[in-house]
Amino acid sequence: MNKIDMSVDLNGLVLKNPVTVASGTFGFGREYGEYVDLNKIGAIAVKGLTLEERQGNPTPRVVETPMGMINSVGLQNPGVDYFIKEELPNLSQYDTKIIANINGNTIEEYCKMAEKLSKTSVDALELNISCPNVKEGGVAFGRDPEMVHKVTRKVKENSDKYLIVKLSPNVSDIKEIGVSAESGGADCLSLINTLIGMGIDIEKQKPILARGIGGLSGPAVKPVAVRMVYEVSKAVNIPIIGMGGIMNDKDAIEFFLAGAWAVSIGTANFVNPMVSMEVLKGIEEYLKRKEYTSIKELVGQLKF
Amino acid sequence: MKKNLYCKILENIEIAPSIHKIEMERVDGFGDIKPGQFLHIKCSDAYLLRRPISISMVQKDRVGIVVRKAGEGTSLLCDRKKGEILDVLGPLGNGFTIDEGKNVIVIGGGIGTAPLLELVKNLKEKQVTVLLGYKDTPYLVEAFKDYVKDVKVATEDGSAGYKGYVTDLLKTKLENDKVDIIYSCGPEIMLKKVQEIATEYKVKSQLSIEERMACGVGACLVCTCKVKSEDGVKHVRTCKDGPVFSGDEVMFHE
Repeated sequence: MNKIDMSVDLNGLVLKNPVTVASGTFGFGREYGEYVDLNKIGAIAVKGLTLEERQGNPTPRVVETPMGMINSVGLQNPGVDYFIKEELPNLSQYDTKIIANINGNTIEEYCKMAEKLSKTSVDALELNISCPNVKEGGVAFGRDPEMVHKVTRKVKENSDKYLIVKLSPNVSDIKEIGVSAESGGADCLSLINTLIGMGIDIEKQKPILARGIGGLSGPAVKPVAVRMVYEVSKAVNIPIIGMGGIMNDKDAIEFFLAGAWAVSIGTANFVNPMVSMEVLKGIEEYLKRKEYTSIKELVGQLKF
Repeated sequence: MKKNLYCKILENIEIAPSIHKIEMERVDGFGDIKPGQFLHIKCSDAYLLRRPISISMVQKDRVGIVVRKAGEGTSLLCDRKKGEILDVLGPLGNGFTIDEGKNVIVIGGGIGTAPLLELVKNLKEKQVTVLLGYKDTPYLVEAFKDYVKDVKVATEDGSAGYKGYVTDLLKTKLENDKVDIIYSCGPEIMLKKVQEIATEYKVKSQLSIEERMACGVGACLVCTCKVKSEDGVKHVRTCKDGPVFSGDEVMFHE
């Protein structure tokens, strides 16, 4: 039997395989490089960057819930300049696409970062308009369709890089937000970011996270994510990278059937550093078993 | 390339109420283990995240941990039976650095006494005093006595040894004897006191910090520890940059 074609062309961004790792769960690749051959990952979305270095939120920053976790890191990162100088050269050695996840407090900040990164070897920008763990910007942008359109268009004007817009699930109609990003010039959408959640210590009668609320991820959010990928894929004509609680190949296949062109592994990396490779292998076996010759044939094949 | 280790449980004994000593096979892949390093252990499928547990004992063919049933994850870990297989990442983190100083105090509180046991094994050439503090029932005390003669115990309820805080014993020791370095692991409130006392008596210290973790390898940034830096405060990773830090750099919560 012929080898299955795992490559995927996201309308301009070609990945050698559709399994990527999600921003905030893979650092800048160094740590997990000890466990995974980074050359075998389709793309790496790096830890969310801001214009200036950020120290992030106080601890505790994580609380575990059944089948999930809530984090409140608050975008701790060394800043975009440090990333370009100190981390990008290391990442560029590998045969994988590099997605720079960017976060701004204002449209100007997003644009400044996009300009800086345009002159580098990153393959794509991922506009994070959905981080629930910072006071300004973040999810405030991601909830307003007009704002989403505007920030997407401005960043597109200031950069010639491939542009992914990462959507927040913390909205009443995610289709509307997806359409706004598309009309603003997004080349691709990624979804979902975390759901806003909370955990309470009943003895102390206080929230467990220092900041009270945080972003819920892990298998607990998967049904929500699959539904949203399904809805948005029907509403837009640009590709979607699906993510949210993917722990294994079966979870990933659900996302492809729902309409995702590629998938991203997040929380599962923390549980099993080698999970991305296991997911990739499992998808290939499934395609073989179902007699597909390429991953593209699986996208949106949900029978309804 | 590193990978998960699958280790058979050789022994699981409750050594005090809700405190379990678990010994597992030292399978290929462990490599060298430094005292103060930890293992990141998968406890169940429903509770996703691994639990960071310090290594308390290393032998040629086995590795030991001591676990306190604190929540769902650690309870499920303590319930695992002899013969079952544990999914382990590690050894992770930076351990204690053996200092040149000859006169050493090792001070632990509660479950924080466990990693210090492997440490004292590595302090054979030194003049060592071990101070162990517990709320009520002491454990591991006899194990420490296998390596060190001078072991003192404090309990908060007075059921064994000195009645009160173990840090009171530290103060007494520093009043009377020359000490070059303090090694400590225990609850934050105790470590904070150890740090204060070490500063007061101008003695170097190394503190092993506990923090909620997710990845354990330095990627997720949830286990941040605040340390002093040139321009004020810096957030470093407890899992990768620690868990052992120099006592003069750690900034505890107010």
